Amino acid sequence: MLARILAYALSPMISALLGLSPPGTPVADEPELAPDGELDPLEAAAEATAPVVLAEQVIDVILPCGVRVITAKDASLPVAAVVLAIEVGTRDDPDKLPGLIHALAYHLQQGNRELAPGEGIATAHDSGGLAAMAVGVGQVRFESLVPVSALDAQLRVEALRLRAPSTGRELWLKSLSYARNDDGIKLVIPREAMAAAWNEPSLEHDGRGVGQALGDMVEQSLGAQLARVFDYRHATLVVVGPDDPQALLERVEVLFAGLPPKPRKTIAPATPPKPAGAAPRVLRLPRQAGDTMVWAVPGSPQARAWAQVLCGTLNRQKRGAEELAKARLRCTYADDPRRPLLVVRAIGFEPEQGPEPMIAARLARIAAAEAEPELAAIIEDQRARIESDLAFSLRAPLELASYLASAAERRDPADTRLALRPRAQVLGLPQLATEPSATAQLGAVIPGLLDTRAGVLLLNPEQPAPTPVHEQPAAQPPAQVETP
Amino acid sequence: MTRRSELGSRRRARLLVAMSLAGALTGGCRCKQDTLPPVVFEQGSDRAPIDPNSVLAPPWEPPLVAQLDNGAMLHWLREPQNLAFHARVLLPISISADKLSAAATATVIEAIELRLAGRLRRIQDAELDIRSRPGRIELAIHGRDSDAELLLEALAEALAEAGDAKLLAVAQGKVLARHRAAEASSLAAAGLVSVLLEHPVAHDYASKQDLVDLSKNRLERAWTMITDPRDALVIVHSGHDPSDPAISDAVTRLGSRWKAPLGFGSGKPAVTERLRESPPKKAQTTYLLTETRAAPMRIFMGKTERSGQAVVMLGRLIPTPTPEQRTLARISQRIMQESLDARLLVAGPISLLAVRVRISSTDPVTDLEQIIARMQAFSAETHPGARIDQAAQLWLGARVVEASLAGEDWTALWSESIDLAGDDREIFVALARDAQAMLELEPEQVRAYMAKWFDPQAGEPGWVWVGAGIDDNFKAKLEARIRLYQ
Repeated sequence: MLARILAYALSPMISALLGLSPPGTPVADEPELAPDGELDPLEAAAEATAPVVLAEQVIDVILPCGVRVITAKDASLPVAAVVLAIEVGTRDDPDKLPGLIHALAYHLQQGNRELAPGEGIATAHDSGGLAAMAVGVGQVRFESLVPVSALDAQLRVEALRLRAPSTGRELWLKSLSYARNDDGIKLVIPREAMAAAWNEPSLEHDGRGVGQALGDMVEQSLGAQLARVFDYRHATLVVVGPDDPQALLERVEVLFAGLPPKPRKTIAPATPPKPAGAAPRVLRLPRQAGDTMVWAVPGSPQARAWAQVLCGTLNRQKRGAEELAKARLRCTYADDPRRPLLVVRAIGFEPEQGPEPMIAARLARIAAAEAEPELAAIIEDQRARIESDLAFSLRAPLELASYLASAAERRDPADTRLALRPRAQVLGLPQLATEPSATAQLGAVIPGLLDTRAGVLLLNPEQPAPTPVHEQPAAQPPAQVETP
Repeated sequence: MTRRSELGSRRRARLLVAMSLAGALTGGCRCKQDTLPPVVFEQGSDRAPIDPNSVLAPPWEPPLVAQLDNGAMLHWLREPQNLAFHARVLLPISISADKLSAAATATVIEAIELRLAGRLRRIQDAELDIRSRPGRIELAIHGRDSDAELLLEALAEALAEAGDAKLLAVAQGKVLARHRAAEASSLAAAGLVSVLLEHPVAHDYASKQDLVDLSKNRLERAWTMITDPRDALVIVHSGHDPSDPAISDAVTRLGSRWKAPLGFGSGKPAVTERLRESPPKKAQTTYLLTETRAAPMRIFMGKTERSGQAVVMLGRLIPTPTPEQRTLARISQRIMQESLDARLLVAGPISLLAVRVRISSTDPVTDLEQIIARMQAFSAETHPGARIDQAAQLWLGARVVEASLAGEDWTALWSESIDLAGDDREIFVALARDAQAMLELEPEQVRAYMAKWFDPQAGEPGWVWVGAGIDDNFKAKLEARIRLYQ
């Protein structure tokens, strides 16, 4: 759902025809930790043998200044992807200043004492590269893809970007004009439903508005907001290039060495709200058919991957014996690094009962799929498919770097030692191992998504709320993996 | 439709104007695998090893070279653990320039796309990309390496069956329905190519009437000429080894299902010879707007552009037999392009420079004089080393960045490397050497080269020009100073 706002076309080298137009948290990912909080044996072994970096490993460290750095190798072409992700988004807009984060993200292109206005973009463009910016509900990213010969210059930009940005009024008004021209973001469900699923009213606005209050901000206020929101201590710099991860890290460390040591700020985990009662929460909105439920998916790569496995399974699951002849579910997964959603629409259910009983029954069968070999096989197929899809879609540096920017922080923020992690694990790819089974892993990683009490039922204002399936609230809140 | 195929569709519409370096490459033939001389690729052994990162070239290994049973050449680039599969078929259209019209070429390509796109839709993440490069059409398919066998089979099936008369007729109708009136720029470009390379204009530009006039026989002849595997090259980039049994079978089927027409021989073994034509026998000896040896302007009468302007395309052929000359031609064009709409097509020993100028009806001759004066000023100036270096970095960087964004497809870069190579042995290092040479250019070298080849009123002769979107008013004003012909 993150929208690429400042996409840039490549330099005009492509034209071949004459006469044609010439050619832009530690979200505590607990499965990575053994129950007692120790590193798992695989990672412990990797740590012990550091700094030998295997091809499929990434380095994930926190520098003394508090910035987290992830480096990975992709040697297919002499290009490097650099992504600076800051853990703020439009959900962090103050009530009186909607659109602030979006506008400030533009303003970070206006430079500071070290960088001229637009220099960040020009650095990429002048070397034939690409620069883009993405502002989402929970993350802002500055992304670039450059030839490796320009990597150091691009890293310098990212190492300077957040240091005392310019606050001149003229530049701020220019930033607002850029922000005003941006397109809005279309969601698969109404924005109110997303806010309800996450129980975060701040998600109800799209974060793209530019009101008078933003235009009235004075320099001091702008500087204070920039300093509050954009801080390296809750930022992640990802570099994917043709060099070894260790060599890439060394290139980064030099550029951040001048920043004073500071403790890393703990990033609030993207944890869905816990179910409060025996029934799903109900949201009444106009033009709803009363057939849809929405879940918040934990904002970690692992949960995102498994939510897609669940969605694929729901779309292929066979009808239960007690269901009506036309009963089926249509699941849609709406991805976002920090606030993903799962939307399930039921068709062919008993109108007086509403969709919940049918959805709950299907989810219960998936949770107990070990007893239903055919369904277990579907889950396993979907696991393999999603693993393959993710690996394929993340094969190029820019896509990989963007995805790595949402990887859960595993380490103690105070620990700045070299950390090697298997790339697949950082990406949250479902593992090939059959033990535990795909069904068991699904239930362990995203238990909340198997419980209708954790979802939101969308009804129109006139519809009566159906009788809930469950008689009791969940005895224990589903133990989300992302428990901080 | 995927983003890549949407782009492909837009390009396809533009293929109606197909730049081709045509010529009469008649079919001197060798035999097949048993007598195919092995290609020993240069690997920079006569100089220091080339670091792909420093010169911005892919870290590829020499490809496996083979000839399929139907005569098509195969270059297989293997990259271990690559998850993607890319196959690119290079179909020369310059070989029979006098017999092959742009209308027929566009129809044949449409037929291939109709058949191939339908097959690819059934394969996950598979995409089709059709584009034009100097003297050839390139069909590229992309997908997952795990689907390599399916992708190769789809390609074989399309090349075997899309020549069906009924499908060609459907394709003709679709191209005709999409046809729009000529843009002045496209017409001027086609005219310039035709003057420089002595092609008929119809080889490079398809009018609506050309499309209507295509008969069944002409379409079938065009199909046979364009898809003759004895003139074609297939480039593959895959994580698979071509000797893997499943892949090997698929490659064999590509060579057997896609059949060559009846005839002798199996095509030239050297791909650089297959894909290129000889320069025109008679070199141009003219300049622009000079007292003596002034080039006449070929004009295409018609409506002006929406802005009320007409388009003049001026240009020349530049001999580029050595890598150094190709590099100098490219960097000179890139520097000039900062201020002028200058394009350069490099095809081994011959390159084509074109500059597009929009002229106003008020005083078109003055507009042309001003452009020529600017070109002369550029050519006389010694450009600082930093400027040359920046132009080189931008060109080289964009090349690899584009390849990365396109899914890390090495076949497109290998195709470009073919254009930069003198002969087959040089293909492997051509891209890297081009980059290395570009980064080592001296300002004085560039100035001397530009003075010789980029000055329309001095240096080497060979300049010509073509105008399009010319109405009576333009014609009258241009005639006062320039000899015109239609």
